[in-house]
Amino acid sequence: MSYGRFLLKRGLQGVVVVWGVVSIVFVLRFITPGNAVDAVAPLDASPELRERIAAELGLDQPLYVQYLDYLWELLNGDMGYSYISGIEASQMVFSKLPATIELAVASSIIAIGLSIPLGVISATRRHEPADYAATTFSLVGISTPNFWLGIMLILLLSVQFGIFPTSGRAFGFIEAFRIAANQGVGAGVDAFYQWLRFITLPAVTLGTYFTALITRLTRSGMLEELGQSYVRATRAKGLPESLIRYKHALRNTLIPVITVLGLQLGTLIGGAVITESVFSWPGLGTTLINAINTRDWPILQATLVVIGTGFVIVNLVVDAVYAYLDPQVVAE
Amino acid sequence: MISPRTLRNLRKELRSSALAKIGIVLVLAMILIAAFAPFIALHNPTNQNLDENNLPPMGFSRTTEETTSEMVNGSLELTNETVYVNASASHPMGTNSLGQDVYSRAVYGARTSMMVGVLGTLLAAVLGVSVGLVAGFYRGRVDDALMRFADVSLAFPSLVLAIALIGLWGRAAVDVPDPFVVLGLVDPVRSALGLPTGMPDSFVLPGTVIVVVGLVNWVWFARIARGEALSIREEEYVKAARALGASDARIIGRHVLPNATTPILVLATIQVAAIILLESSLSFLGFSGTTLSWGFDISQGRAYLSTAWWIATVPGLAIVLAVIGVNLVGDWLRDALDPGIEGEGVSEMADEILKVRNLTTRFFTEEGQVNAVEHVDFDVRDGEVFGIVGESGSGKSVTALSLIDLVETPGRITEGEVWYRDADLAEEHRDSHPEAVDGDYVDVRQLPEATRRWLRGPAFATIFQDPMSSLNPSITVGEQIAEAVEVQRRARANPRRTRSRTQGYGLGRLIAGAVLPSQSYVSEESEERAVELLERVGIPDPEQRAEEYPHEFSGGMLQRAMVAQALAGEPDVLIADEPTTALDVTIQAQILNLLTELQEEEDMSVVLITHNLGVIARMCQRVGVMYAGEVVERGSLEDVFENPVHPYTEGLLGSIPDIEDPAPRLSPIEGNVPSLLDAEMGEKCYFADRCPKAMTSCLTDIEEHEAPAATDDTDHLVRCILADREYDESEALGSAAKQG
Repeated sequence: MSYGRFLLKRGLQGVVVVWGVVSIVFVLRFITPGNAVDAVAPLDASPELRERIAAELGLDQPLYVQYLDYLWELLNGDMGYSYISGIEASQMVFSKLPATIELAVASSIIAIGLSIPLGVISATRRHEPADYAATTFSLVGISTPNFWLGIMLILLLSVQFGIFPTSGRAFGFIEAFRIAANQGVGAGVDAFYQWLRFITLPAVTLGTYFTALITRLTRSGMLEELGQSYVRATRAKGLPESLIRYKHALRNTLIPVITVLGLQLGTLIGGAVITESVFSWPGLGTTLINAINTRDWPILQATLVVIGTGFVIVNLVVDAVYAYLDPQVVAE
Repeated sequence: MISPRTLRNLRKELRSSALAKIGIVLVLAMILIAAFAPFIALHNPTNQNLDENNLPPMGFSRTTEETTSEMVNGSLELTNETVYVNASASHPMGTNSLGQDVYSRAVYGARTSMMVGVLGTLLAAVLGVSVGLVAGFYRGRVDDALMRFADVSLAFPSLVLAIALIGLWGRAAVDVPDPFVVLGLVDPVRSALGLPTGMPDSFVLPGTVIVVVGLVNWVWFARIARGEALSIREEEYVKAARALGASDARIIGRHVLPNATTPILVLATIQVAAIILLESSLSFLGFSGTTLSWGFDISQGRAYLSTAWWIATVPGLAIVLAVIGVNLVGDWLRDALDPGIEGEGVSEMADEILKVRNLTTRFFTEEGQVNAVEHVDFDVRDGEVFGIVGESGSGKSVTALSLIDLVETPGRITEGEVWYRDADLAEEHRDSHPEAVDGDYVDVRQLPEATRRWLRGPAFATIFQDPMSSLNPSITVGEQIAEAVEVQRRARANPRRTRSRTQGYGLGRLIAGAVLPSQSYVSEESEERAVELLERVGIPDPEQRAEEYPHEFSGGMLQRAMVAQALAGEPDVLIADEPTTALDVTIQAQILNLLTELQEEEDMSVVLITHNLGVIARMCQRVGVMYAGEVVERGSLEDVFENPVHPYTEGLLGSIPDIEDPAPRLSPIEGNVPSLLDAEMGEKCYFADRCPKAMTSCLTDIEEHEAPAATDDTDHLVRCILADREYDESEALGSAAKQG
């Protein structure tokens, strides 16, 4: 199978999964106690008013009609209006999306940038102080709840030393660019500095678990690869150790690491939800929790659909990278 | 379900790993604290006392501004005063904003964490394993549907799904009576200990949370159970059981489930840790049915970070310690039950290219010291094929690896010299390393590490037994051969300097090379040379094959590619370690022909290691026979094969059936290769126990003796007293004599 056909096949599978995701969200609503009408109607609403609301929301239709309507509206990008604020759900969710993506990307950069070198050093200097330090860090890292880590960072770096702000987000990365473009370099540098001040603690908080996790994976994978026969054969042909480690062993180590990363992406988004809550970061997570607490179904639905779809898309990318690195995947 | 062997591995791993011990202590401590919380807590964790709120822990104090108002001369005067709030001995970890005891709340929080962790995992495991087994066992549509569903549910982060479900379903909780209170034990014991009585008589179990964490985590179990069911289904004994009419339920219960126990157990431990973290996240966000939870306390403490840091710190530390404990136990189980990374088990003057003297390699394992190669001597001459033959476990392969200094831990070459003839190298090291130089020879073992590495490729090249595992599966065959060419090309540009092998190729370009072909380590010339080499070893259509990956090659073609790679450095000595064992018989002959042809054309020396006497007879001029890490007999092929002296060599040759005269020569050697554990090997002839001609002096005389040789050209050396004297039955050694 060629790489192109492989991608096409994976893409079609992805579409099926996305359909599954939106269907589960639809089902979720019907296994929920309470009625959507209750959430919208005033407490003293007359039966006529309640019926009118139900008709308005399409709730008087047979289930399959509601389902088809729901799919059709989703295809058109229509996810309804917030029961609380009346804002269009899709607009609300997409306006919050950049903040969450920013946070996820920043923490991924921290995690990948730190963990792979750390794991490699740890594996190649086994039983040396560097290895002990890295393994201790990664054990504590995967065992620490990130919301608590966030609070401790706030306690230490914000409350005690005042280095970083305790919470919030001044503006987005793109806005910082806009400021630089409109107001000149000085203002731009200042804007990026502000952006960095706000995002540092949340990104570190969210990234720590992943740094620890990937360090562990890289270390054990690297140790396993270095024990393989081909490494011995590569040494026997006289290749320098750096090439054996970084070209041969590391590449093969990264293949399973990437798979796990794809699977752990859910944890990253889940972690983002709670990190946003700790730092009052105005992203999807905060939106989700507000929507649940106020039983604002359209917003909840839109958030879940976007998160689920996003997960599927990123996993497709991971699959594509994976297949690029491991030629055996395409063949199978 | 847990075999004695598993238990032994668990104990062994526990003994050797301090981390496993820490893990078990932490987990046991947590279980005990959770179980006996009513006796360990100092106060009722829900008792409020606003007079004693935000008390600091022992050893700390807190300041607060207190404003007092006073009527002075008819007007109200306010005075601000800094008041020190000191710790109270009855609240060693302080109190929270409601005056509740932080320590006692942490103790009761352990109960919530443990209950949710264990019950949630149990639910996830039961659900997931059932679904996975059904899917894997029946396959087809059931499998497809279940696995698609699993894919879809993985698309929701477990925390997001859990929040959504709990938010929509409510936060139902169950009041479970505390068994110790029901038994009437708590108050008497506490008053006897001098602790305040009146502990909560029930415990709030967050039911919805348990159900939801089970529902969002079942997929992991389903995947593992399915994988196990899929693979076990194909096992012969399972097919046999089916053929005999065993019911599906019985097969799953008897065969599939027990085999899946180990991975499920390991996963369950990891899941307990994950669920403890998930529970604390949920209660931190307020999605829990109970307020006696570490996560909830952290959310309460958040508001008081600047005044009362301990409220959030103490429960957080409790979570970290608990999860570290569970994770360490998980690591312990995984390492003990799935021992992945283990060390692998492991080969004369003027016209001799290689002289090996007293080579000794030992493995330092947990069972003890293993003497894999013991005082081995042999020579390899220019342009000859020297054979090393022996049963598996006799030390042949370790000898080969020792020659090229690639013995891996726990193995180590402890003694011996490997003299390699290279006049230039000898000249170069005569002053700096006089002990490593003798005439035109250098002792490879005494050369600096960098020089030793430099010799791999141009001096010694190696072909290993299994070509598939000796090539990196994710890099094309052509590129791997080109690397071997390139490393020599770069080395020649600046001889004798190891750094030159990566000259101009730092880490940055290495990383770039992973993505951009133009930044690759290998040059175009090397790639062309690789194609030539592929052609040289008889691979048709070499240009195209060079672009292919190892899995696209057949076994025979791959071994040819390995030979091409070995030729890249134009080596003086080619070490071939069981080069044909992994191949089909017809392919074996082709590879042997290729080796003979190349050896003659390139004028290399070949060290051929094999257990196959036929291969030795066909290929070699001279041969050494290995037994229990020693070379017991060596000499020309003629001497060793036609006139063997050592009873082991005789036995080995006797175990090849002779077609013309089958009856008399078929006499397999009784017994097995002895243990190579140092503790169990005495100073005696190691073959004595199996030897039909063992005599009492075999227990003392272990020297190498000279035996009659057919030509003057080659010595015939035997590590057996029979080279010097005839067998004398009156001196026969007890039991072995009876066997003979």
